[in-house]
Amino acid sequence: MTEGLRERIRAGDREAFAELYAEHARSVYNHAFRLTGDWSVAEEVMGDTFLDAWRGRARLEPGDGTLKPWLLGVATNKARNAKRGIGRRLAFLARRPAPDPVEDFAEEAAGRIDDARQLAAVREVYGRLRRAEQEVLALCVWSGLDYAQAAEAMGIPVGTVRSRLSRARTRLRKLAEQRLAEDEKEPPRRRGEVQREAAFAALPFQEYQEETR
Amino acid sequence: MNAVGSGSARPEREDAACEEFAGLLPSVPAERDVPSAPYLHHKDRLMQLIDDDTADHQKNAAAAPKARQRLLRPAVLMPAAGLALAGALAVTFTGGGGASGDATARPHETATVLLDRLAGTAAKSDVQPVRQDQFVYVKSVGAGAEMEENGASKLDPRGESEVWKSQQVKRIHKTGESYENGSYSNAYELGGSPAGLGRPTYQWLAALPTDPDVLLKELYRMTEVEDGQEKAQAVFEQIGRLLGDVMPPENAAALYKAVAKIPGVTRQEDAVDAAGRHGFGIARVDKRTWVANEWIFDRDSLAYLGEREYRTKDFVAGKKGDVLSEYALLKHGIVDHYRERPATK
Repeated sequence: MTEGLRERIRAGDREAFAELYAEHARSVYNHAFRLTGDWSVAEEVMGDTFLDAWRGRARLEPGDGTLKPWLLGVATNKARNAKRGIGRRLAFLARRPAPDPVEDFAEEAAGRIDDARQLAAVREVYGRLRRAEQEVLALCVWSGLDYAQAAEAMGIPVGTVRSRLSRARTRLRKLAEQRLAEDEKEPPRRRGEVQREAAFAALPFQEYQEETR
Repeated sequence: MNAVGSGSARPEREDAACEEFAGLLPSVPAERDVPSAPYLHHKDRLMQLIDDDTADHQKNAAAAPKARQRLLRPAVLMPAAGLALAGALAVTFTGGGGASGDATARPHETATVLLDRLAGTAAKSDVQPVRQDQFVYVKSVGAGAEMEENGASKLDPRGESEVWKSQQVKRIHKTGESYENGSYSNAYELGGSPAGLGRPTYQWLAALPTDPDVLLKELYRMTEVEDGQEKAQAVFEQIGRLLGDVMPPENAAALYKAVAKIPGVTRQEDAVDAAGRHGFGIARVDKRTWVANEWIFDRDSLAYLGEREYRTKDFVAGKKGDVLSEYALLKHGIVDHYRERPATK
């Protein structure tokens, strides 16, 4: 963390924004991808997030904590809006040729498709959660924020972060158990290529400590 | 309690909780770097915005920072000035979004007449109901322009694409497929997406009100507005995105009648789509950007041909007449399976 970055951001310092971008563009981009499932949408979300950060700098709380929760919070909202309406995006795709292939070599493009496919497998499960649960999960589990930071990002109390995660966990466990039962019924075929083994290796689950506290 | 705002490694208990999630979900793709071209592009946008706002601020302390630009649609605030347009692209504009009363009255009348004819034709069209297990197929050609902060834009080469849109009304995760540049790709919606304004299916469209006033009110309610955008413009553009879809004749007719009730809508005598086809245009100008959104219809059959966006006024390096996006509907139909194409008539 850069010393005093938050204060300089609040003051609208140009260089501070350049530093902020250099430091966090990547995590915002990846967070946006995990929420939207589309690298090009993620790229737009990332770009717009920093524009919004600039416009909303006055609303940033003082202090010296990392600015990542703030940015991921903005990005989460952006991603939510960006996702609205696949029809719109399909229409958009339909009227736009593929993006400038400057660096989009075939290999890169193939990698992107694999990523999207891999994420689709995650979503099959993750998609059953409520949106609020999905977002908190993405922030804590995939972007590595702690509960207090996720609370800051979402503008909600820490207790709410905890309860959303707890609900998400319960639900995912149930889904995993169901899936396990289904797979036992039809053993020869495994649906999807992505390692679902991981999901079963962890079974049976221990009751989570915090809940029994 | 958790450590608050520490910014350091998170508490172990939380780590354990997150690891448990890792076991419950398949693994997510590895993180990637932002590719360098977009990385620099978005950085430039940010720095440009900061510089512009800082300059504005010095000139006018009261100026509020606003949305600057969006892909395909620059949201640059322009001073409200009179709009006098003619010539470029052989269209005749006499009003921008009802900016001046007298000048717009006449073209608005003709727009109303044309929309009335469009509604009449739509009402008589022969549309077979689409089942939820079917797909709407659309083949189109189009291009978009990437914009510089200074308003200069360059239209990308035109590209053809085909899409298959699921017609399921319920919340679904995979909402469609597309075929572009020799490969198929799936469209997924995180958390699933029910039919709606963003994913209009035949049955969803069929359920819309057919009274134009009620419909327009409903569209105003459903349409979301971008920062600072005029609601009427957002609704107009939203309707434009519905026109290429398949819906019952009475719903299509109601849409055209609803458009006739939006202020500032004009009729263009000669408009061209991305396939080079000429026809009548129905247009409306975004007052923030002076960019016209125009729909094109065949002069004889009055069929919807496509859409185009272009500048109606110079803006720094952007010139009046610059086309920012164009689209032409080449073929559409109903099929039973993904990747199936309707028979050529």
